[in-house]
Amino acid sequence: MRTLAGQWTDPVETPKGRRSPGELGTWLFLSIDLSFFGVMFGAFLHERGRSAEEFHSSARELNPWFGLAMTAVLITSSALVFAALVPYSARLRPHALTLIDGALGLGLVFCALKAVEWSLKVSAGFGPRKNAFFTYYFDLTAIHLVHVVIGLGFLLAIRESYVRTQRSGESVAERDPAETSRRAPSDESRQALIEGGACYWHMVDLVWVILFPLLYLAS
Amino acid sequence: MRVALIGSPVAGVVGVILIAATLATFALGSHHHGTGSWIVLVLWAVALFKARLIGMYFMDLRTAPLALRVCFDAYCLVLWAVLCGMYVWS
Repeated sequence: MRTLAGQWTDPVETPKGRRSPGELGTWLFLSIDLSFFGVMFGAFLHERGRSAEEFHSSARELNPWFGLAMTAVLITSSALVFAALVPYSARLRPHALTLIDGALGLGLVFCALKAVEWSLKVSAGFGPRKNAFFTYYFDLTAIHLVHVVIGLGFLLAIRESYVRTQRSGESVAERDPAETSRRAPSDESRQALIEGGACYWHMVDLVWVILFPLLYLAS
Repeated sequence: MRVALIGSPVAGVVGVILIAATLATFALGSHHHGTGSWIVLVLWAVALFKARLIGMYFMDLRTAPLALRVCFDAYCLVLWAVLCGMYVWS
């Protein structure tokens, strides 16, 4: 659905005033992480400037189909996590478990693709010590993979939270307001986990959509 | 309009745009084999457009306070300028 203002909205809910998705601490952490990756991208391009031909020939040794597949996998996973949440809130939809499971599965597929790609490169003689390009390639993708694994941990925690809530007989998406206020402290931490974890997973996706052209297409 | 599979039209529409943009950059980038090409600047622009789409829609920043949105937009803009600048002048 598209509003007169030109923004897509979900028919389930519309925004009621401005609100920050996640807590201040979450955004501080995400901004530090994004800045760190920004510096790493700059360092990569700086090194590329010093040995452009080496970077150009080395980048052609990478298989861009791997990069394409991993990008598609992460984008789909991110979309599933987004779809699992009720818009503009930190609540999960009733069918969130299937979506979170799908996102988790795709995250594991990403890890498997990365492992296969790394092993193919190393066995072909293009290890991290081959040259500056491959040092950066392994460093950047390894740091990103660590973020993917941490993100999978967040998704598992969100899943566990959802299952626990379901077991206790409460509908996460349709809770009585009076009950919500009585259980405010635990709800707040659970909502922080859901929103913070989801934002972290989207950040992992965001970093990869820049890494993909940087390593596979533009070097 | 509701995408039955995932229950969220926003997720479906944004996801399709992101995949389409990825395929476009792949088609563009995997067939050029020169350095210093203007195509790379287009690749960065599309990549940062995708990053902004993820931020605004998946991370719900479009409904966030102005300061947070401005910070995110500034990050995307500065990163795009730095990537392009370092690519062109390196």
